[in-house]
Amino acid sequence: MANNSPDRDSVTISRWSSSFGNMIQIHGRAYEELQNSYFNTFSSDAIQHAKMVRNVFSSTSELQPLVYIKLQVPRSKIENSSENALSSAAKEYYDSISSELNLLNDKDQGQEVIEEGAINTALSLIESLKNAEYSPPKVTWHGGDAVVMLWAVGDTTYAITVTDNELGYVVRRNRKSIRSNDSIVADKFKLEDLR
Amino acid sequence: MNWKADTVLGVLFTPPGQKQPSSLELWSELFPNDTPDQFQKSNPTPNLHSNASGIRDGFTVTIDSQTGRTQIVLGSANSPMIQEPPRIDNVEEAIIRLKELMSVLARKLDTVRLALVVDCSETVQDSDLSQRFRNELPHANLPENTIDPVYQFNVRKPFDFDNSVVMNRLCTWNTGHQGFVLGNLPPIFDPSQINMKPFIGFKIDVNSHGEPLKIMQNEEKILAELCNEAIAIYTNKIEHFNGK
Repeated sequence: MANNSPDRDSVTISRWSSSFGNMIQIHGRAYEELQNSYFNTFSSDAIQHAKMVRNVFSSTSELQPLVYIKLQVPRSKIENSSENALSSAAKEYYDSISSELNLLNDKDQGQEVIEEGAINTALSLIESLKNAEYSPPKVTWHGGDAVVMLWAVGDTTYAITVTDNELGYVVRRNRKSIRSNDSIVADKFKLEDLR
Repeated sequence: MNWKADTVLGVLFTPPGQKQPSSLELWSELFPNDTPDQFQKSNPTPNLHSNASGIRDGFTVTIDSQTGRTQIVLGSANSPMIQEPPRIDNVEEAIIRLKELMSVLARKLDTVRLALVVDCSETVQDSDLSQRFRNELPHANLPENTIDPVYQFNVRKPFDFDNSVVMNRLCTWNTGHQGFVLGNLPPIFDPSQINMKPFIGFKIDVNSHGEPLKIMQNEEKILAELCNEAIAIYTNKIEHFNGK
């Protein structure tokens, strides 16, 4: 996960709340272990040093950095908490995307801009994205059979192309494709498992 | 009692579908001609998350950027003690510094919602936990020897600059355990090397709610009011809400 080399003498933990609960980002070796541990909430942003460990514990084995953890009595998730990943504007935007997609396949109006199968697959994906509290994408369509969803941060873009019951994605950085997959059957597509 | 803060957090929600800067770009906005001590980028999901961090101005500063949401987290840069986590002593100073940093990013980003969160805690003895909670919230009338108490509410109030935009004021008191975990390979975690102590927590979450365009056009005023309100709640605690 880390792009930079782990620093053996320090561990940084940050916590940010999102749809996925409390996510953890750790520099250093402890990542895998912590990721799989039973601790569900971590204190934010502390830098600790192995030197401290040596001062406290007499163990002669190879010491790894300390981290602080925080195990809390769970708070109820309140609607207006800043821990909610989506703003109300984002939720409204999701609704507008769904409405727009439905209009593209409005047979009562004699209009079928995009194939019905692609629309239905896209609507299903939109619902999953909303439930998982991802920020909504920009949505476009082309060719009469594909809906494209796009996210962009800095020099990186993430695009999902949706056709009838199939999806493909591409991650591009500086206009170079760094990760992609194509023709994934819709029910095999996992938003959080694309590596 | 003067609470110390584990973290002081600022959140800027950005409009849907907008391209936004990575945390590295935002770091250079906050600290010109500087690079973060650490930078991490992961792209496996549409969040396109990245974070940049370092110790600056006496705080551990972390900037998280992901689609739709940008966060600034201030933590203590003090040398940690064994007995308890490093905490921010001067919380008011941290809130004011956070507001300054948020102002810089608010000018860079179009924000449709702003939040300021103060997460305080105090390490206590097991036997003191229930009584400390009762002392903190005398009006809550909690039974003696209560375990795992949580007390939370949201009291909304209109912003002074425009009463059609409202401020959520969420407060939570809770308890739990925190402490060191010693990572030692192998084994992964030796339970005997986990040093946990009980704590009582107090979290303040003030954030804006209203028409996105109004928020976008009044970021400075909103930030100023959020900052003042967070400091007032931090200072007066539950008493702040009596008659206000």
